[in-house]
Amino acid sequence: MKLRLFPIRSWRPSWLQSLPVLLAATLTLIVACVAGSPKDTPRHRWWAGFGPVIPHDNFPADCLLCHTGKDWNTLREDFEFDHEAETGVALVGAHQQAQCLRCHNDRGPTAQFAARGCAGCHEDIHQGLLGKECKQCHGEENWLPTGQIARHSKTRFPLVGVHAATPCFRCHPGSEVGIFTPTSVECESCHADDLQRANNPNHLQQGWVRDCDRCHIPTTWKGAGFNHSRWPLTGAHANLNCQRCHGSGVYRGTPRQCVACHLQDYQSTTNPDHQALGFPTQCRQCHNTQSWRGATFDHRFPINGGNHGGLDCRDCHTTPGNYTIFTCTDCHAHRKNDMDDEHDDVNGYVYQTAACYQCHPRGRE
Amino acid sequence: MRIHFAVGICLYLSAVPLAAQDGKIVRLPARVTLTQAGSVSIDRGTDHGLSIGDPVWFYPRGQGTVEGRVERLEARTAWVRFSDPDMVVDIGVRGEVLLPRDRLQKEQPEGQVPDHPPWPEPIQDWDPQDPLLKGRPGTHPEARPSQWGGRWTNSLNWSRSSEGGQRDFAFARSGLDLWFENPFSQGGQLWIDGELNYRSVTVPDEPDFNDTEFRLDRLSYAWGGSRQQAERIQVGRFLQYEFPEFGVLDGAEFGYRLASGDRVGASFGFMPEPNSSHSTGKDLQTAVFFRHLPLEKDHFSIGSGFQKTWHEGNQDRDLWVTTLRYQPIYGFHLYASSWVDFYGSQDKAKTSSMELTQFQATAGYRWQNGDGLNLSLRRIRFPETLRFQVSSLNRQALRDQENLSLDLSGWHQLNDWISLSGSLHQWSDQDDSGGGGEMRVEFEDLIWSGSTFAATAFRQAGKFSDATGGRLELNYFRNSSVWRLYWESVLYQQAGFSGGQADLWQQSLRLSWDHSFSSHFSLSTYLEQLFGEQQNSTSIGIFSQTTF
Repeated sequence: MKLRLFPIRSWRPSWLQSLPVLLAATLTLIVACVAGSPKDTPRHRWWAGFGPVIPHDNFPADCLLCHTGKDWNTLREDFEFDHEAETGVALVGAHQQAQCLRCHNDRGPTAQFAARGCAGCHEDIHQGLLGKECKQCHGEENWLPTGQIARHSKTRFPLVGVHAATPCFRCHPGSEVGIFTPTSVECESCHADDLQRANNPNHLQQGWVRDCDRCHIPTTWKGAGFNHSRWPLTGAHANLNCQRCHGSGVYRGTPRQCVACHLQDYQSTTNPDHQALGFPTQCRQCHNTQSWRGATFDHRFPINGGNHGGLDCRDCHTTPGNYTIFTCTDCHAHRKNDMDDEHDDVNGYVYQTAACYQCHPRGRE
Repeated sequence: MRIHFAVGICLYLSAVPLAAQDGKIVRLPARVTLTQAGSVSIDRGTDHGLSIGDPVWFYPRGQGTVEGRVERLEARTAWVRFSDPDMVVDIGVRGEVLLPRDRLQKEQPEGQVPDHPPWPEPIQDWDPQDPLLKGRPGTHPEARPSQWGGRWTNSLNWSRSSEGGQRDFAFARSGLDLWFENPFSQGGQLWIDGELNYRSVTVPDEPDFNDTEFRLDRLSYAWGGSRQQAERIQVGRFLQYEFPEFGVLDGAEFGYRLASGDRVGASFGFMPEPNSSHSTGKDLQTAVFFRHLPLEKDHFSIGSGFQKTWHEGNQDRDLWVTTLRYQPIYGFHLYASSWVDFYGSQDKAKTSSMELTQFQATAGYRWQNGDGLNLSLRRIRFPETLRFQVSSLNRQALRDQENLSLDLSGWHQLNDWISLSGSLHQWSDQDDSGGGGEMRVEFEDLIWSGSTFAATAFRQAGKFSDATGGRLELNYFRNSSVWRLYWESVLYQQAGFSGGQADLWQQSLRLSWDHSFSSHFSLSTYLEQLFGEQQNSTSIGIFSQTTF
């Protein structure tokens, strides 16, 4: 048997779903402001026939200091009472404006209730879960709780990052009604849905259901910071999905060689044709992690600067597909007549590429 | 010459009494109503013919005659200043104001004293032999006139966080509390509390969530429990009166006060779920309780209650709660409470037949000068119940998870304008332990008169994060307003994180304003910004409260 007396939970008119409600709430506040006329509620509220609830035996002899003289139930309009000066107990915040009889009534000696602290008068809507030190969270101005984030810093779970900007009810669903039932601080207790959704990599498949803090920081659930230092994720690897390398769902034992992932790149490259030319599969010799393109092969013959800087491969390697063959003599700058003139005093000079390279391995004169 | 001088002195000394006797000067009796060094107030004023400068003679016991002059006047009060600024005259001391007779006759015509109307209630148990100031018992609750009052609150909180995707949270609530005293001429009280809530949550990877919900927090009627009636009955939806630890009830609670002052009772009914909906009907409970509360020794009470619940017809929780309050001397207090759960064959996670689910104790001492020390101990384990629980915990978590915390705090007023406070905290759970402390110094009137400025340094080793930081607070109190400016800067170090962003420097800045427009209307508002490494969020809020 299910009885659902309250609340009217299914009452969700469509027009109440978003911004209009905020506007309505704002309007309500404005109405509240207008309704809050400056006319003060009398602080006494003495009830006719209530009798002298507060003992008067130590009061000033002049009754007219407080009473009007018409009857004992009406106090003077200009009645003032300095509670701190007269009793030694200062009234703070909203208590300054409280009606006298809210505390000084016939339910018992006020001092006894006051000795019990706030709980002597105020109902404990927290159902005893938060102890008796109400002032740790509540002020006496309007009872609004403040300083929760600072207070949370004293627990084992300081509110870091997005947790500090998250409303209480996200973790303490009963907080709207004052029930702060103890909540588990283990990440998966609140982030079970995130755990279910995490498929890059698939956390459940991997069995990663605990110790979220090893990879995640509390600022955001995304952008896990797993320590990949064994194989640093630099350059283009930094933003890759895990599955690009760990597509099989296996994280341990993933080969660390570039070609393990880049074999297809190796095979499909035509300029130069890595496979045909028998390029080594030690990709790092020419490539970095920024980009597969723009390899920086360590050319024995310097072509990164000087007179030979900026040359295209084919300027010297004129035989397509074979980079072991190169020529110096086909170059416009090395015309035979010019070279012959320059080497007329060189013994054994011949105008041949191999001879050029033998005497000028660094490309210098 | 000497004869003439002696005659002159005699004539002078006899002038005042002669004047009083011949009708020129009148001695008007008065009494001290308030006192402070150098001045007093008396129960006579302009209505009695007093004027500023009039001499007043007081006759304190053992001090002879003390003379003062009227300095300030109201209709029925006068402030009299003595020539000696250290002179103190006690409240109640008799005195006389010396007035010219013609002034007295003009200012206090006869026949102006109003007649007292008939007393509406007969004086009960009155005996002509009773002393005049014998305390009079209050009127029976059912004889009092009906009264009603209430409170209307409205609040709106909105926050946006842009780190890791935009997150928006909005929470608006409007609540109305009404109370009625003696509405049915039975001396009872009727309460009606309800609240309309609106929530909106927008977070990445989750569908947007909007919810508008009306919740009835209380609709109950209670009678009895007064000095004249030993039994107390409450029905409806209400937070259980004797043991709030047993929660909100849709049902009835009966309590009875024994002649010794002890109280016994029982309750029965459905338990609304402990969340924002308060939906009911799933959990049935019955409870019995006893509280030892000696009438003459209010400094000690101990209570114990047993609650049994069923969830959708299945036996659920057997809970034994004990609370204790002890205040043997001025300034010292001890509060303690314990929740003990009993488990049976239907419980799968718990292996023991009983377990101390929750225990908390607070002991404190406050010296006469306001300094104090407080020590709190708290232990929490999760109960195994079928009833709605906040955390969805698996069996292992239910069995293993616990938290034990110990807090020691103290405060000391160094001088009129500097106060110190500090605390040390220690925690441990099933996996780890940690702790920390903070030190705070507060200055009054340092920047402006009516302001306080406080600086705090703290360090806490948490389970996942270690926090080291400081706070600055500036509060300014003016008339019925309070302005607060708050800045916090914290370095969070992620304890078990294996990545490269383990340290986060984060800050928050908050400005708030509270104002009481009248005794029955107040408004509060705040603006808060969280910023720093991997943190960026803005929050605003407004709260109004109207009492009537």
